[in-house]
Amino acid sequence: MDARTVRQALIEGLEAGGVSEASQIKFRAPFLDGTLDATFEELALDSLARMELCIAIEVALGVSLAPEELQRYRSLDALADDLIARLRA
Amino acid sequence: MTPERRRIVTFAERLALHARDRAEAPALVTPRATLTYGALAHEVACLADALRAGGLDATAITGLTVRGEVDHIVATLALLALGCPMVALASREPAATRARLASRVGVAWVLGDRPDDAVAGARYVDLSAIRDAAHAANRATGTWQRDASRPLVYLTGSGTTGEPKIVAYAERDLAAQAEAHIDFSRERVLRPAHVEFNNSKRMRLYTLWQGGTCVLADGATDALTALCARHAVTWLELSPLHGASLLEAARAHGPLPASTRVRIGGARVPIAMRRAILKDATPRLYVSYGTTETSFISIADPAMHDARETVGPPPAGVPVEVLRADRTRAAPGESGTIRVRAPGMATGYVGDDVATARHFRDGWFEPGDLATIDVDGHLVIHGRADDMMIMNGINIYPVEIERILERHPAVETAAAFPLASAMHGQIPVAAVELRTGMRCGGGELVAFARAALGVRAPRRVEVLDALPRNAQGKVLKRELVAGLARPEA
Repeated sequence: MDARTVRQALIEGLEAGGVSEASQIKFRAPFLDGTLDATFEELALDSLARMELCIAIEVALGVSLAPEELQRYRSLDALADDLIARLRA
Repeated sequence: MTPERRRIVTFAERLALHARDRAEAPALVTPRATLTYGALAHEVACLADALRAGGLDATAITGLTVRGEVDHIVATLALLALGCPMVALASREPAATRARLASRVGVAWVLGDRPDDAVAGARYVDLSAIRDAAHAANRATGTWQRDASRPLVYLTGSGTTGEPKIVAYAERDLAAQAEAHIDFSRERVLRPAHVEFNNSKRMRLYTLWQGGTCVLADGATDALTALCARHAVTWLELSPLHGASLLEAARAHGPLPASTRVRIGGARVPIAMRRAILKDATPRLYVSYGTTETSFISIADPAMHDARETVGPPPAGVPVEVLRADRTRAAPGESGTIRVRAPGMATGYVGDDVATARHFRDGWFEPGDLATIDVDGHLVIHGRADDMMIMNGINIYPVEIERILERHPAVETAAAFPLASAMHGQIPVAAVELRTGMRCGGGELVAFARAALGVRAPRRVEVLDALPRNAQGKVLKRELVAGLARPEA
């Protein structure tokens, strides 16, 4: 599974959680390309958005994450990198 | 009902009455022949005598593997006349499945069409040989058993939830069910599903009990609309799968004759299908709800079809209740599990005390379906209680997802089911079949459902060429669960 697929799953999870940036092309395109990052604070994820992101990761990638675990990641890039590493392990 | 009819409790007596009072009335009509009640009674009596002469042990259970519709019905009525318990070992089932059912029920004889219908441990009897003997003897003693309380007709459920459960009905049960059913006494009833299907057999028995006419497709491949026109069918009884065939036929050849009413039951009938049938096939559409354990529970008439997808109000004499989890009665419009008492209903399962204790409680049958009874008394079924998904503490009913997805113009049929998750419980997902010629991606359908359902929306929607179904047309969700594997890493 390539990095773009993983990033696409994150975008879809953010959209499901109502995170407005995820629907905006100025965020989506560079994030999918790996040229733009954002922290969870910048995206202002509430508890529902964190749950939706974790569900989307599980459905698309088969990786189980608890919403609380998201706090371990500095940013979306860090989460994507960890997921890619897990999937390649 | 006359006092004379009230006393009659066996099918043999009832058949004799019809043969006396209306000998020339058609009982069975096939594309090739018509059998009047007089002729049917004679055929049944001759076959019963030939079976008795052939040494059939009426205390043992007979398996029936008989493909011809008329042959199957005549054999069924002959076995009833002899008081011989029976179970259909359907020819469409693999030999191993037939053998397993025969073993579960304890079949000692198999009445079949050909030697490979035999099952291990049971004596095989060739029906055609017995029938030839019956015709040669042309003898009917007319002396039949009169005990209507012995279980004689073993029926299996559809088996969509695992090993099929088995119920056994005595003649008085079937008679009570027939009396409570739609009045077919002056109707010509076509149910395209083969008589080997348990509920098809039961409906044919109801029709014959009442003195109506069974129209039998008996292998004819004509369009349903043509069959109905040719045989002046007044009631057409369908599964949802046959409902789709009816629509195809109506669009290709025109609507049903004005005198034909349609009843669909056996599974959910989506509002889109109801509207399409009302528009293209017939304005006389009825949708019913029933179970193998009770037969008929409720019916929605043509004026009742709306987005609720009601199955109508239960008739008088069929109490229906909806219970909360604490087993108190739910308020109108409140969802809960349904329970029912119906004339002639089963009181347990054969050889399954655990399932009996679970589904038969305090004189009620609890099918395990979720339902609401609305303020207008209409029953709305929300699917199997076992099918309810719980994701992060949120209750999600598959049917609410299915009803929304089927509002999308590209979707023909949707099936929602859970993806098991150690973290979230059950994540709702779905699979769909698209309408002919339509294209749509899963992502668009996820977004469409999310707009209507929010957190209860499916998180993934697979677009399939065809949903997996069993022979009765029910979608096999277990196969969908197995097929929608987690993504490969």
